[in-house]
Amino acid sequence: MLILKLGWKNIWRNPIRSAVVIGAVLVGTWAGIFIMAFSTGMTKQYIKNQLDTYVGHIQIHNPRYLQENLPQYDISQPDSLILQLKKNAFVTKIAAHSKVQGLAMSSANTFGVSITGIDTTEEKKISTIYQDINEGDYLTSDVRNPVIIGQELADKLDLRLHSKLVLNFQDIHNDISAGAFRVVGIFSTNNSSFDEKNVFVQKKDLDRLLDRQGLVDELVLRVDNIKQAPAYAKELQKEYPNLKIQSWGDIAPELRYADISMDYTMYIFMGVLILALTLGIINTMLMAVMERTKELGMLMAVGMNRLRVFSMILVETFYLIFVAVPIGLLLAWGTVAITAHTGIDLSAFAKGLAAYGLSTVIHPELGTIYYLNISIMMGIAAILAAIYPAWKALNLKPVEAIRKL
Amino acid sequence: MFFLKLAWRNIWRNKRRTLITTFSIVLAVVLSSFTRSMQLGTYDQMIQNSAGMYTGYLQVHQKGYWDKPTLDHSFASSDSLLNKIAAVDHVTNVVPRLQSYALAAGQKRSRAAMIIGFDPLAELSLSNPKKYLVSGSYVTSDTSRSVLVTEGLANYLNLAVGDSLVLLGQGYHGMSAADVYPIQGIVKYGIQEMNQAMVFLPIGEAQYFFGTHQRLTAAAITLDDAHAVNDVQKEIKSKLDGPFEVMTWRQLMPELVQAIEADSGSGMIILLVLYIVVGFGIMGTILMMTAERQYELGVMVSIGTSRFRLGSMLLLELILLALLGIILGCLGSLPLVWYFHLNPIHFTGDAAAAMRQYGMEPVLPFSTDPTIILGQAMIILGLTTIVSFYPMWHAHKLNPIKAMRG
Repeated sequence: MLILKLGWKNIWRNPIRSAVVIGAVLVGTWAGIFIMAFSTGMTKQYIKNQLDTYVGHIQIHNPRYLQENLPQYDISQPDSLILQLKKNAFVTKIAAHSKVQGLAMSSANTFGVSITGIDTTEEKKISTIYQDINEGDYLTSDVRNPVIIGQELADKLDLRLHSKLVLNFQDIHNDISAGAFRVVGIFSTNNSSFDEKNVFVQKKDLDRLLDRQGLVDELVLRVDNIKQAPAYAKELQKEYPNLKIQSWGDIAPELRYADISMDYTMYIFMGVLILALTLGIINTMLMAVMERTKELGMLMAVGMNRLRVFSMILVETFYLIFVAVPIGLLLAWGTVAITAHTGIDLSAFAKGLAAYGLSTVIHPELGTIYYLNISIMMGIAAILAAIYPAWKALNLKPVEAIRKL
Repeated sequence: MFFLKLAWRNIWRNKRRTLITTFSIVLAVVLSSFTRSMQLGTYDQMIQNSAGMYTGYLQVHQKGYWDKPTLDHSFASSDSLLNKIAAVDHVTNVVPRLQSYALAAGQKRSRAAMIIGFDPLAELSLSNPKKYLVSGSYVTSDTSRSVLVTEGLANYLNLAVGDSLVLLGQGYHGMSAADVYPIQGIVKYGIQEMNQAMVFLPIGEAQYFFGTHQRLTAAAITLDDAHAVNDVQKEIKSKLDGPFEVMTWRQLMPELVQAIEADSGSGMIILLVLYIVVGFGIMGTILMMTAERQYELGVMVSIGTSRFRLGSMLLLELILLALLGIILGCLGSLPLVWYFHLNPIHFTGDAAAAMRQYGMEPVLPFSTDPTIILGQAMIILGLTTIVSFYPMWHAHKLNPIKAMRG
């Protein structure tokens, strides 16, 4: 008890030293957590943007469709399947596509593309491409056989708004089928290779050319929680063993890579930061012990036993760290909560971000589990940082310590 | 001069104090070098993954090819031209290519595919189809009448090794190009885009097929030092006369540059936080060091040392320590970074699977560029110098009586 009191008083005896240690730990905790939240928020938004634009959360195909890429390998009885899927609470939106690989031909050039037939009102629920239309409209115009194409493809094929585009592909009987389409819109998402390889037409137009109305090759689902999508996909896979059900990580592995590698590098960085903090504290406390050589020598000379000296220094370091860590955590939590709400606007100095598919307004976010992990890591660091200087204090020899200069 | 001597002696007077202060500076250099090397190593890996896998660090084309990549923008090649490029410093390989699109057909189906006329020997240093063969064998002669196809295309067309592949397309200046080739091998790349629809046709045969004679669409160039790319670009430009464009990977892959720049921003913020923390660490030791020497400083002021000189002496001491610290820090960082360069941190479990699927090695590589360590050392030196003004200020304000009472 006496030791606790003594330690507490010692802290206030040299406020500058205490302020430096508390400041380092506080800023380290605060800034470290904030950076993690910032990066996590940025990555999550990037992934979400990409999923919202073209991947969706879960995709369902006939397994043969994925192998052979032919429209006749469709999903049988799609309407009843959609009704059943909608009974799952986690499924929020569903859109059905007919889809075929073909050639896009203009007077200038020919290019291989993937042609997707969509229902515009349904599609708006699962894809934000309608927001990425640079010129023209989103298949809403009343011309016959409208098509929207990506900016990249428009450049390659030398197409403009209202140009004619011939799409050439095999129908469900493997016969060659072709249709003349009119470009009514040009979109530009943040994925240029997607823009180069995809065109969208009205589902009824494509179904007619493929020779089966109501053909469904692909179902795209949105679910309530992106992180849970793989688990949901597994669940659905069990229910429908005859279909191939994939979550976004399997469809777009580069996004899963972005997600996972972010976690990894953040933990390594936090490790480096905590190492820097721990060693910084050890250094400061070691210096403090040296500065107080005389004082500690005196205490030992008047009969304070070694265990008590050890505990006193230990207690002092603990006080400093355990004042700083909770305040740092609280500040970090507060900053994250506020900025998550208001967003951090980087648009002034980050024009390139938008082109890469990153939002210019970042909403930091961090799961509770991270706070917990960081607290545990800081706790372990605190113990290590406290023991070494205290142990060093034990090795002082009272007589030498009292001697001046 | 006298104070330099005094400062030097002070440093060695209390070895433990010197050790602790120096250690805090060494630590700052090592940790910031570690972090920066990791960040830049990841970028190097991304660049290597794209430039080293297919594009090359530089490409030479006919002027105008990159805007309108057609066979009509190919250039007349010759051994002397390619040798001229190969003779430039840092260039390890010149990989000739003749690239265009054609319809690839099996028995029932057809699909637009990228036809790459390639030199079987030179290509080993870049996209290296031999390494990624999953069945069949590699083409050895650049005039052999057989092709390699990617697994994605083979599956789509339902073809296996030994089957015939029909190619139908448009050649040089609108000539029609059609031929049948036996499939000699099937390759599978990790990067999905590369695995889609590619046909590797030996370059001599490709030139015959497209009717281009000795022409190429691109000469891709590999380097032994990725950082020399701009110098090499200049050098090649000056050596080639004629309507050529020489482009670096930065111009060839602007998306990659954007991706790196976007990430680099958050990397800088991370480093800034680290500087704050190590700065506090150095600050703490210097603060305590000044406090410990109260008595000594008090005596010096009392016997008439000017405060300015006293302060300068303290500053000098710390700058000497800082120099010592950053030199040791650099020496310490080098083996650490090299160790992690040679034994990179491995991803495990899900992360590793995700990276392999994406076509990347599941490791966290480190860059060994020595300028990273030097740069970090300079920053830490600056940081320490700023903090070192504290003892000077302290000496200026010191009350000798109070100081000696302690």
